[in-house]
Amino acid sequence: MYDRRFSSGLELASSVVNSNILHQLWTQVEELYKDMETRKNLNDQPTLPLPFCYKISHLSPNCVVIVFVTSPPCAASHLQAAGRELIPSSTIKDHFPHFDFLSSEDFLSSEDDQSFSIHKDAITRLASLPDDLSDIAKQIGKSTTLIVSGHSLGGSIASLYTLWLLNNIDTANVKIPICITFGSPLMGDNGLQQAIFESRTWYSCFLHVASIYDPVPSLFISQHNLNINGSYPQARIYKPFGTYLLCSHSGYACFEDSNSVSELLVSLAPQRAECQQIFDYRSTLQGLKHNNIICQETSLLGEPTNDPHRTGIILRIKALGINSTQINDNNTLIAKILRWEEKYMKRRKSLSNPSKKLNDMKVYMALLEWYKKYAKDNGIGYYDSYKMMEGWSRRDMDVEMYKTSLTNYWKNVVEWAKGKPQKKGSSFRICWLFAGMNYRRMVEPLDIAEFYRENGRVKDYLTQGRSEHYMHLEQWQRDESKSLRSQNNANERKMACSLTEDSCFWAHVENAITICKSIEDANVSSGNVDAQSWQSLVEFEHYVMSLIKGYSVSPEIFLKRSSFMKWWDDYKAIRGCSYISEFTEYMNKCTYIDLLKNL
Amino acid sequence: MAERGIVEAIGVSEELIKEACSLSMKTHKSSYGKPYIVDKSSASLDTVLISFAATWVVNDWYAHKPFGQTKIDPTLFPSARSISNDEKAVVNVAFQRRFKEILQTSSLKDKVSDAMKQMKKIVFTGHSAGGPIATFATLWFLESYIRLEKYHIPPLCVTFGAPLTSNWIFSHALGRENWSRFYIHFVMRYDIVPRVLLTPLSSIEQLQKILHFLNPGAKNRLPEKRKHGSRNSMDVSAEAAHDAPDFFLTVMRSAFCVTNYAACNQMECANQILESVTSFVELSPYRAFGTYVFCSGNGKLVVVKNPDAVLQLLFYASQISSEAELAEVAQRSLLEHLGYEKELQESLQMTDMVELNNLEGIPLTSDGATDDESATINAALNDLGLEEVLFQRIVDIPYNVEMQSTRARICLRAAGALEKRKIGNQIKIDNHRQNIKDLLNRIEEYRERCETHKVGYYDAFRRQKDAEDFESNVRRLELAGMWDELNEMLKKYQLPDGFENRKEWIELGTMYRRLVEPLDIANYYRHYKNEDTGPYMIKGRPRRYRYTQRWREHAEKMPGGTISESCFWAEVEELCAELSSNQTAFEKVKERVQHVEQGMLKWLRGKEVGLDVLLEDSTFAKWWRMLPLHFTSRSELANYLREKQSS
Repeated sequence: MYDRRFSSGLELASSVVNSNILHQLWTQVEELYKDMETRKNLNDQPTLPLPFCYKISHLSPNCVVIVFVTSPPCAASHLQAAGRELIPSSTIKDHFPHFDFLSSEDFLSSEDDQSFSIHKDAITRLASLPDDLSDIAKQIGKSTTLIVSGHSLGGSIASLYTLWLLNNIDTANVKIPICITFGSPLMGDNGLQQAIFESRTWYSCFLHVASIYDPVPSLFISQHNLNINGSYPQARIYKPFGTYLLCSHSGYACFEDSNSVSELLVSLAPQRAECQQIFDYRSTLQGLKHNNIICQETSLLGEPTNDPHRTGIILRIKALGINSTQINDNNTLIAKILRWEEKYMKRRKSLSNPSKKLNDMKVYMALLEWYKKYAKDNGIGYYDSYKMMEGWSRRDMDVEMYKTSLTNYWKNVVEWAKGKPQKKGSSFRICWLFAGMNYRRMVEPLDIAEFYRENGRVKDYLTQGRSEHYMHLEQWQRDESKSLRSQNNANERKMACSLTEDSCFWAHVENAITICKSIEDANVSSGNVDAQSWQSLVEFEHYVMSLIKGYSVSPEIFLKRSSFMKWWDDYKAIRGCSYISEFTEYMNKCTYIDLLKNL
Repeated sequence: MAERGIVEAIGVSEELIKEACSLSMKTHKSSYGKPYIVDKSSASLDTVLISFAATWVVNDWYAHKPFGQTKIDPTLFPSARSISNDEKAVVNVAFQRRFKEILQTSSLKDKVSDAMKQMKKIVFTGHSAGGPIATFATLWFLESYIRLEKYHIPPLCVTFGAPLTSNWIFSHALGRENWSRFYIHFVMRYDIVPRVLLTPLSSIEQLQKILHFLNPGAKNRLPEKRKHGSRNSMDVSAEAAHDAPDFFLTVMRSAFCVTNYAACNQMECANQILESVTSFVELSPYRAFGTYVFCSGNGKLVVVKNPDAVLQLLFYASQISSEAELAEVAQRSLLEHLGYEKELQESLQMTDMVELNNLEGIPLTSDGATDDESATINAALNDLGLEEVLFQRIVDIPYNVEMQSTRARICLRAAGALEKRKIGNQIKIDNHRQNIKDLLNRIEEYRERCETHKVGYYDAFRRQKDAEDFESNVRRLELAGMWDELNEMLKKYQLPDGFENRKEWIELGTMYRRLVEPLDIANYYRHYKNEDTGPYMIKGRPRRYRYTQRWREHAEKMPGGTISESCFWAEVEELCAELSSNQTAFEKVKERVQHVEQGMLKWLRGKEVGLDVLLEDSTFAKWWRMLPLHFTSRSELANYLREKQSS
């Protein structure tokens, strides 16, 4: 398979610059600063510093722009004074209710140590959202592009607000917003970077424009970031996320990999201006547009190279005006960036949609269906057949294989889906949730069977054996059907289903059997039966009856040799004939025979 | 990739090219209002040249903002679309309109018929805006005569300095039909006209003045036609010279946006920022197709067949290397448009052509050229300006030249890599073929076994009673997996252009569809999916059957989109459900019933549907018995059945 890679960092950067959007956004930023200034002068007295200022405007009928700045404007020295404190996700929930999703399990990356931190100054300023900012998603439609922008610390606020939007909009009805910041300081640590990177869409919503002469973007980078292996010490450190458009007098280029961005921000540090001034992006942008490019010497790329990716990196570094006295350093820089970017591309590829294998899984499901039918024809039901592992051993072995493949696949899908919030109603979500539901109903009974076969009755499946991925699948499906039910009310079931809807049905049966056994034992030894046990069994009766009435249990449970029917025999015996309930009536009258006939 | 003779490289003799070129130039001056002139070739007795004149009014180039584009007319050009996705090509509406006018109002059809009667090869040609007309004429000829097998001598289209006027689907469709080889476009390195339509109309207000300057016939115009002002030709050119730098930069800036965007996609840039920011720019839809021959201006000819590479070269080859060059290059960009005749006279004698076909072998730096072949390529690219240049300041094109030419070479490589990825995908897909055939054989055996048990396999499968029904379900799913992978690639255009026209796949697709789609329908109705999702044909029909049906419909030139021999079961199921819910409804559904009946008659006669459909217990037979007697007794299908039974 052909696998040579290209880096499109130059082309992407040129597309951004030529679109003229940066210029328009910066004009909005300037106007907002001017507005603040005028307002201050009008009041003619020193106003209190505001956490942030913003402005909503239409760039075109189909484009809404929100820009954020701070008042007073934030230069590097302000930021240094205000501190670089990070606050961990665990405390975000308590102090910033708008952002509690950041500490939810859905948002957190599964691999890392399950937490991250955010620049305190930034999130504190956005602690409360004005109404027009929280309502904006309702006002824009599918055809409107929403761009969130901001300068310096205002850029951090823009990024945070974009995260909030991404979590709160329904992407089925609203276009995914993009965030373009100018000279923004880093806003979060590697945990945040990781969480955003692993999302299918979020990772490419952020574009940070940073001049190499602006001290703010690299302000919070510490020496730890220069650790080449990319293995970070325990301490929380700031890390860039999203795409960076780095620019200098001589050119510009895009970088997506966060390690490369950190490295470049640091190695370009000597070019930087004083910290007290606010860096003006107008002249930088003018330079990009009108391109009075100060040219470098002609010596080409250090060493001959014929690899397009490597050459692309060299071109991008050259575009930033790193001169050839640094060329030796550059070679290690180039090598590092090459390695990082390759890793980045590989990782992104591995994060792409796993639904491709869904069809293979359908085959395994069909094979299991077959097994189920065989078991049924033997009058036992596939749950008990698998639990006993008797008879056709070859077939049971195959089932083992199907089950393992399916479980591995779905565990992966669940892990993948946890990393990126799946919005309700998206067609992908519906498609795989449906398949996931069938999988759960078909395979979880086998897991329960295996659990009780291995452990006997010592342990309880529901509290000690159930795999987490089933719980996620069940929860997501429940959320989804809530939103779908309103649309599809007419689907009242009239026939018994072939798979029991509650995939934990058999665990409840096993539970009931255990209780029956304990009652029998108690009867033999002391005759003293705990009322709680009887109560549990009555509850179980109600549970089964409701399933039967709702046609949501497979008639297979009534097969002669099934665990359920064995339990019923035991239960009938210990209850005696005098006990009558809706359930015992139903069972005694053998009403289920009709259902079995149709099976 | 090396130097080759002209005939080997592009399949046309140099005499023919020269003749076409001088005829094209002559047409502007001496057609006297006629849209084209016909000339017998002196180089070859078997050839007739038809050359189209250009028009020089902005409205004939841009019918509207931003790029005057429209979907191609499907009645005239039915093949100019993608088959599976059924996307029509986009073309420039002004040129399409002009061609249609010529076709309807002039004697072009007669001239073409005459030529065909004499068994001549027809060469359509045109310079400048005459080029797109020649393009349409050639496509019209291919569609109406060659594809319908009314004539077997393929036409040829040779254009000189023609503007780009069609989008990439057009190129894709021509590639699929294997018609790209009939189109040869000559482009001078700096000629502005091929690039003009990459620019939105709103940003080139000077266009009319430029066109006026470019019009070779302008000097010969009758005075009353020159109503606007009283300029003489000297004024025009002075004015044009004044406008030229601005015009050149504007066009180049737009070309830069387009090539950048295209390169990003070829490099598989998945960043959403790209789509978001490019939505703020008006990006031209027009792309190249066919074979391009770039004339370097110093006698070298470079042949490029990859349309993505052509687009990149259209930008990078005419880049300027310094601010000082601007005025000169801008002038040149206009003058070269009129210089084809002279240039080709010289270069066709001087040298062989260099073919850029191994794009991935392009050396990125001059040190990278290690063998003769690379050295030749390097020299050719240098001649097109993709070279190492001492750099100075350049204006408005935001890169220094040295980097730009390396960058250009990377972009050419990316274009080549995309082509190679597509071929790689095709190899992967082709490896499935045997597997698909084996699985189809197993299902065919299943069908036959069912038939010996006097059950149609549709009904056996719908009941799912026996092990082999289950087995067939597994086979169905395995097949679906392979076809879905293929369709996903087609949907994203990740296969070579010609894929949908490959006989072996069309046949396999048809076989698959006829044999397996009934199983999908049986499965659909077995699980009552119609009740909660809707009818199969509207809500449930998988892409793998819609696509394969379209392949065959295109290949056999059938009308598209009706109920086919593989999915009548779905209609039968729907009609069954409707008829059994309400007996009086027959009159309401009569037309649909007749449709199925007529189709069935045709399919049975053509052996496209097996006789097992008619077995006593089949869903079809049951449905047939549900129909009122007054209908069934008189139907043609009943007659056919009686004949079958008696024979």
